[in-house]
Amino acid sequence: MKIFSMNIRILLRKLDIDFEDLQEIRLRIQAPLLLTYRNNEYYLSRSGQLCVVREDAFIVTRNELKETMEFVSNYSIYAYEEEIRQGFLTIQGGHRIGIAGKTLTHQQTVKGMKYISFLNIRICHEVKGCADPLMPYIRTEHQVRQTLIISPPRCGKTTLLRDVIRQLSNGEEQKGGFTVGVVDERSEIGACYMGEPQNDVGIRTDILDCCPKAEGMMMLVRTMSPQVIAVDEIGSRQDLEAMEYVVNSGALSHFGQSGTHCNDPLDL
Amino acid sequence: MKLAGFLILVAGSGGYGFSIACRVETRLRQLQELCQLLLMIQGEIQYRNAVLEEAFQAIAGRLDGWRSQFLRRLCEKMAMASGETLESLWRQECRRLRKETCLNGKDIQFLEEIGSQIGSLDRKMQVTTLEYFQLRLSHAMEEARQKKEGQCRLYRALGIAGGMLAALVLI
Repeated sequence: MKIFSMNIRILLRKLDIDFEDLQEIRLRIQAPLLLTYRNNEYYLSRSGQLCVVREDAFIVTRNELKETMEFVSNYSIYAYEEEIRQGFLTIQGGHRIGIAGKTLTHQQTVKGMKYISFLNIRICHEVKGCADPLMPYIRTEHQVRQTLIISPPRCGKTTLLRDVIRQLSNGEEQKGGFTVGVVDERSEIGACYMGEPQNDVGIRTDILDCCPKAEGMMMLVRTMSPQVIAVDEIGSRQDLEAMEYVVNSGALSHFGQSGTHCNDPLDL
Repeated sequence: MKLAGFLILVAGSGGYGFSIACRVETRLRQLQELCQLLLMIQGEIQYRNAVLEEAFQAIAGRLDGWRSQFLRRLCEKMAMASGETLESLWRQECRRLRKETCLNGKDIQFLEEIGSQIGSLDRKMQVTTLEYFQLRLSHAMEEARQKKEGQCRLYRALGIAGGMLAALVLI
C-alpha cells in the first residue's frame, strides 16, 4: 500500500476484497485505475469500490504517477536507473512493477525513461505445493530429469517452475536436496529485492538476478557448481547454445518457455 | 551599588554582543559542516548508488551533532512511508534546524531547495545537482568568512558600548 500516492492509498484501503486474489493494479496517466481481481478486470471507483462502470472510475493523474514512482523507488529514482532502463523493478515482497513511458535512446538502445506514464503492479503470489503432482515425474529415486515447461503466457508457468526449484533445493525427508542455480533474467522467479529473494526458492538455491540467460548459465556452471540449473523464458539461439553447454557440463536443467502448442519449442 | 549595577549592565550587554558574535562564527562553521554533508551524500549516490534512506542512515552514523539528528529524523519519517513527498519531509526538518542551529533564514531556504532537487533525477544529474549546490554554498561560505571578522568586532564593541551607554543613562 505504501508504494502508492496518498489518494490511491486512501481508495485502496476502502476496498473490501481479499487482497490474496488481487493480481494486478494498472496505473495509466489520465485513464481509469484498473484492477485484475480473480482474473476479472474492474475499475476502482472514486468511492473506493470495485466497479464496472467507467464513468465512476478513479482517474489517475500525472501527479499521482509521480508520487507513486517516488514511493516505489524509496525517494531515490536515480538508484533504479538500470531497472527503469529494463522496464521493471522489483519491490519488497517480490512484487514487480512494469514501467512504460517516453524512452531515451542512444544508437537504438534504450538508455532510460523520461516520462513514466504507465505502471503495472503485478502482485506476487507464491503457490507452494503446486508442483507436487509433477515432482514424481521430475525427480525419481535416483535421478532428476531434464524438464521443459511449455505454457501460454499468464498460466502459471513461472509459479510452477518456482515451486519445482524450491522442492528440488529443499529435498524431501528421505531424499536430499540439490544445489540449484537459477538465472532469473526478469527477476520473476526469486524476485530479489536488494539482493534478497522475496520468494522461497529453497535452501540450496543460488540466483543470478537480472542476468542475461545465456551468460548466466555459463557463469553458474563455471563458478557455483550447480547440480540443477533453472531458467525461465528461453527463446533465442544464444539460449539454446547455452543450454547445450550446460547439458554437456553435466548439470541437469529445467527450463520454462512460452508457447501454445507442443511444437512451438521445435520452431526455435 | 552604582558600580555593581554599571558592571552588571556592561557585562550583560557585552555578553549579548559576544553571543551574537559567537553565532556568526558558529554559522560559518555550520556552513562548512553542511558542505561536508553534501559531499558525503554525493559520495553515497555516486559510488554506492545507495537509496537516500540508506545513504542518510550511513552518513548519520558517521557524524554527530545537528547533522546526525537531522538525517536520523528524516530517515524515521521516510521509513514511516506516511505518503508525504521527500520535499515535504525535508522541508519540515529544515524548519526545525532554524531553532537548533545558527543558520539564518537564507541558509535554511537554500537547504530546503536541496530537498526539492534530490532523489528524482538520474544519477549523473543528481551528482551534478549536488555539485552545483556545493558551489553555491562555497560562495556563501566565502562571503560569510569575509564578513566574519568585521561583524564579530562590531557586535562585541556594540555590546560593550551599548551596555556602557545604558549604564550611563540609567545611573
